[in-house]
Amino acid sequence: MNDNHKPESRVSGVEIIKRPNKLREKVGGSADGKPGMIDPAALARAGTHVARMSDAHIAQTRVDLTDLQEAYRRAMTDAENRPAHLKRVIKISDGIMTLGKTFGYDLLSDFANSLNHFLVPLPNPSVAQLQVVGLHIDAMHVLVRDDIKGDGGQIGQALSISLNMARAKLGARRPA
Amino acid sequence: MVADDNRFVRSIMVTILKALGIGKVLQAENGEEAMAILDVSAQMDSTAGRDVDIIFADHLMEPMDGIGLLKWVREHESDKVRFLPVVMMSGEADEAAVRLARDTGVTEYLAKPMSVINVASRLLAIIDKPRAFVRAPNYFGPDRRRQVLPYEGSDRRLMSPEDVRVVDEGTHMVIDSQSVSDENPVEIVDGSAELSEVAEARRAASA
Repeated sequence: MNDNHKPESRVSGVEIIKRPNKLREKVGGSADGKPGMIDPAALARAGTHVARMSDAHIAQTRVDLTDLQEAYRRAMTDAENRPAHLKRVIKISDGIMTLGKTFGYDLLSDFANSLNHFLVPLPNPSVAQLQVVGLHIDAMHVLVRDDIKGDGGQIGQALSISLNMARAKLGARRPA
Repeated sequence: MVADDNRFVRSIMVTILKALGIGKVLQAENGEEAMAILDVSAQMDSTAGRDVDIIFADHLMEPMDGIGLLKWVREHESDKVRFLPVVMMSGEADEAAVRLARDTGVTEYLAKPMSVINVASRLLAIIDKPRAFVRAPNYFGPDRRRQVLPYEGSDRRLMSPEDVRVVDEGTHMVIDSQSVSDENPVEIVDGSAELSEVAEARRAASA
C-alpha cells in the first residue's frame, strides 16, 4: 500500500501522475510503446458467443417485461410510493434497452430508451403521463410477442409514430 | 471486474471479455460488492497476479450506483485501487450523466447497448492510450483533456496570467496557480523526469 499519492495529501497546485502501462504488456504489447492488440479472430469469436445467447435474451426480456408491467401497475396504484416504483420502471427499462440492440431488437431498445427519456425528467408525473409510460410497455410487449427485430417495418413505424405523438403531447416542457 | 446488478448483462460482459482473451473476470452485483472485492484485492500481493486490472461498472446499479463506486475508488487509500481504469456503462448517456462521470474521475464511458466492438474499443483505448492522472484541488482522476487543440485566446481556467506557471511536457501541461518554491513545488510522480528538470530549472532561475 502506498500513501504517497493520497488525494488529500496535496493541498494546492496540480500534479500530473504517469503510471507504468502494465495492461499493454498483458495484451501482447510492451511498456515501451508497442501497441497492444485484440486479435480479429477473438472479436469474431466474441460476436459468435454473444449471438448464441439470443434465446436466453428473449427469455430474459419476457421476464423483464413482466417485472416492468408489475412495477408500472404499482406506480399507478400506490401513489404514496410512486417515485420508488417509477425508479424501478426506469431501471428495468434500462436493462431492456441495454440488451435489445445487442441482439438485433433495435426498436425494443428504442422504445425502452424513449420511455426513460420521457420519464426521467418528470419528478411527479400525472396520470396521463403515466399512461404514456403504459403505452410504451404495451408496445414493447407487441415487439416481443411478434418477435419484431430491427426497425420493425410498417408495424414498428406505426408504433413509433404513435409513441412519438404521445410523448410530444405530454412530455416535460423545457423552461422557456 | 464487472459490476452490474443485471445478471444477464453481467453474463454478456463476461462472455465478451473472456472471448477477447481476458483470463479471469470477477463479478459484482452492485457497488458495495465491488468495494468488498476491491478491498480484498488491495490487500493481496501483486505478484500473485490476482489484481483487478479494469472495472466495468453500471451507472444505475443499486444499492450503490456506479458514480458512488467510482468516487470510492478514486478516494481509496491504496494505489492499486485508486488508479484503476473505470469504464462506466449506461443507457442514460446524456451529457449531464457523462459530465458527472467525467468529473468524478471516470476513464471511459460505454453507452449502452453494448456490443463486442464497443467493449473492445474501450479496452484498447485504456490499453493503448492511457491518460496521465491529474490531482487538482477539486479533482482526482484521468486527465479530462483527451486532446490538445490549437487555441488563440487566453486560458479561461486561470484567474490571471501572473498567477500561473505553465510547464510544457509535450503531450501534457502542468498548470500551477502557485509560484514554485521549496514549500510549494510542482509535483511530478512516477517517471516524468523531463518535467522534473523543467521545474528544477525554473526553481533555480527564480532563486
